[in-house]
Amino acid sequence: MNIFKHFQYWRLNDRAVYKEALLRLLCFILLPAAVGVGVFTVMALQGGGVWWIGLVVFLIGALICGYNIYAYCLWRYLNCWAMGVKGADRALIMQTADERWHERERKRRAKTEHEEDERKVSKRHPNRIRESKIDITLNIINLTMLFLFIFVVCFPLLNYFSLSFNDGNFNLHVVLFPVRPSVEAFRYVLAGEGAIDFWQAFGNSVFITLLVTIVSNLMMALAAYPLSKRDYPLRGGILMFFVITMLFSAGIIPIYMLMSMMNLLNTVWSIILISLSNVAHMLYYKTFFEGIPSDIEEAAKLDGASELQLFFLIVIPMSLPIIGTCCFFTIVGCWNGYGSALMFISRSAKQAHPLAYYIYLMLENTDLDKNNPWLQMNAKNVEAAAMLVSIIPIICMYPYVVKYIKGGLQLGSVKG
Amino acid sequence: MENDLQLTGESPAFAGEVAGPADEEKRPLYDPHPGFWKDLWKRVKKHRQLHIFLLPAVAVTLLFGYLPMFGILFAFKGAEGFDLTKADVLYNLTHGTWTFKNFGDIFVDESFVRAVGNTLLINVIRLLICFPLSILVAVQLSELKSQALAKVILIIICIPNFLSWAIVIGIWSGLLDPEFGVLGRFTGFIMAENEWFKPLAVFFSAWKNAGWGCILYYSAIVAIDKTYYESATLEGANRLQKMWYLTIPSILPTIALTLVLNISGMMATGFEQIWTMMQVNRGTLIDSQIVLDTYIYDISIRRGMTNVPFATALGVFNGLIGLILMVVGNAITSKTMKRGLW
Repeated sequence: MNIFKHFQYWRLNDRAVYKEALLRLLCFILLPAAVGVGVFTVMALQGGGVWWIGLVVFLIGALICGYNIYAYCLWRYLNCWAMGVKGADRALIMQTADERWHERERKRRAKTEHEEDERKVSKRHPNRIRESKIDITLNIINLTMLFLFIFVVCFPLLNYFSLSFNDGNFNLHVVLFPVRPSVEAFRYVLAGEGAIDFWQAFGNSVFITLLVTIVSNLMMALAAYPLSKRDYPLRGGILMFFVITMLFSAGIIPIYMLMSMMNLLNTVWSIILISLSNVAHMLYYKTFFEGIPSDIEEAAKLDGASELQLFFLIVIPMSLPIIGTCCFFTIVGCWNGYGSALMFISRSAKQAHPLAYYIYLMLENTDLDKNNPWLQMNAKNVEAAAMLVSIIPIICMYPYVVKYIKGGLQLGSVKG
Repeated sequence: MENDLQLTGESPAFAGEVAGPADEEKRPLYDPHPGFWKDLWKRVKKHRQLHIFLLPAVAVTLLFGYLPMFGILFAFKGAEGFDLTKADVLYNLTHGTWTFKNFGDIFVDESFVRAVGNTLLINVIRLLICFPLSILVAVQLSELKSQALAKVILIIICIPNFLSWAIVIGIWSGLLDPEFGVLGRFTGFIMAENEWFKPLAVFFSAWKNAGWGCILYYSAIVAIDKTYYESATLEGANRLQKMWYLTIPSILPTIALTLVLNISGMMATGFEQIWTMMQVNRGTLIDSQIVLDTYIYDISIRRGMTNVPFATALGVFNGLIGLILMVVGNAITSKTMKRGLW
């Protein structure tokens, strides 16, 4: 839909523009398509009945790669469709996306031209400030070390996840890419014998993460709102009441006994309830709310708004950035954490295993089914497949990480 | 009137004339100024809608933060006659003897001493390696000519931070597997050797956290005014000098804050990481691997609640050490940097 719109800029005969269009085409269509077609071919060659995995891979790839622009255009289009906007009006609405793109492109070109001018100036006066030898050496050392670092980070990931696409008999030869492509491991985890446990754990994790993220953040934002008011009585005392629980806890046994007295052991509710309270997030919310100008709230109060209306209609829409940040950290923490599961959930209570705990048990467990020689040969591949599927939600959240890297992370130094 | 002037304290000479020391002596200690309690009650009534906002959070905190604190009482129970299999928790709490012996037992427990030693050792090595590593990478990234490339590198090296510890240790144990792991075939049983446990623990946490840790420093470096660098260049400073005399001093507050935070968490090693590493080794090499978090978890839950009073005492002791470290850390940062940890 929006992919083809970039072709119209080709008539501008500007190299930067059609380079960008080509790049977009490559990123949004060709790469996911290549991966999807590859998986589909492998599936077809293996003779498996799960051909749709290729389609799913394509869709997920397209979703991740085209995260911004697809969603944006689709959203506009759906809005037009839902409101019955057609013809010229719809073209107008859809056109604004193009315009925005065009604007950005123009700015970018102006900037590069400016830079080129500067470069010309320095060319005209060469050797004004010469790079010394030590600088050049430093550059080389710098680049070498950084690429070494990238290699150390990427090599284990590539090596291990290529195991998941590999046939278990040929694991010895895997270095960076699968040597004998196979999707048997994925079939075992997603649709075979291991599927029941895996999807149970997956569902538990989704349930825990969604519930904790919504309830905990709502609760903490609600509590932070009164505490952010300067003239709220006993503000310091109530703040201390919360901060003490962050600083000191009675240890494992009292909490374990509380859970056993409430009959919550071996249920997902123990994990959910223990992760509801998050005082650090409350402090972030409080700091943010204190920055909201009080004039707006006073004006709304004069118009007769109650505190509840004030909170949900004015404060919440104004603090969406911090809510997004805190929700992001809650989601990552819930999805990856299994410390509380280790405490409250026994390994036989499979109905309550979160996904990270399921993977931990996979690592810990060596007594595989002796009657299944295939599984014994493919144990590592099955582990790798389960891990790869379990990080897909985190990958979908990665645009958020990019946002922090671009904007800088101030959260760590926020004062409560 | 008098007390209002005293409270604001804007004109001390005038306030001194009106309210002398004789008046101050008359004032009762519990009453900061006349009508304090009445004002407070007025404010409480004025904000009555706001109290409802606090209710859910206070309820959850009371239930899961303060109610377990009564469990500290278990630490003062005598071990004999304490049996959870025979009677329920409340019966055990109200019957039997009371003693301080459990806290004394902590210090003669050999495993505890070993656990504290290992915890401190791992954390000190971490502080010496992981902490400067993040700063080094951040400085290197900022030295790159193309900042777009720096951001791409940053995005890549942040990936491991978002994997769970089970996945990180699964990946590395696969890599170091002596039979088919790419690295393990050359190095042998590295994961399952006592002397390699602590270096590997430090290495894994560096691998997982270094990238995410350097975002903080990187954004601090990017925020430095570029004109300083330009003038330093004109003065003839090379890049190493600029790095050492300009970049590092500018991010010193951030470094100091993170350092204090790290030292405050000295007694915690990351329970999930160490426990998973131990379990992947089939739990055979307890002596050199035991750290405080895993030891407490082990004697509390893994051994089936056999010695509840001692385990509770250990947990309370650990909590107290953590509290003291945090409070001291906060005092240091608020004294020297005028900003607290919370």
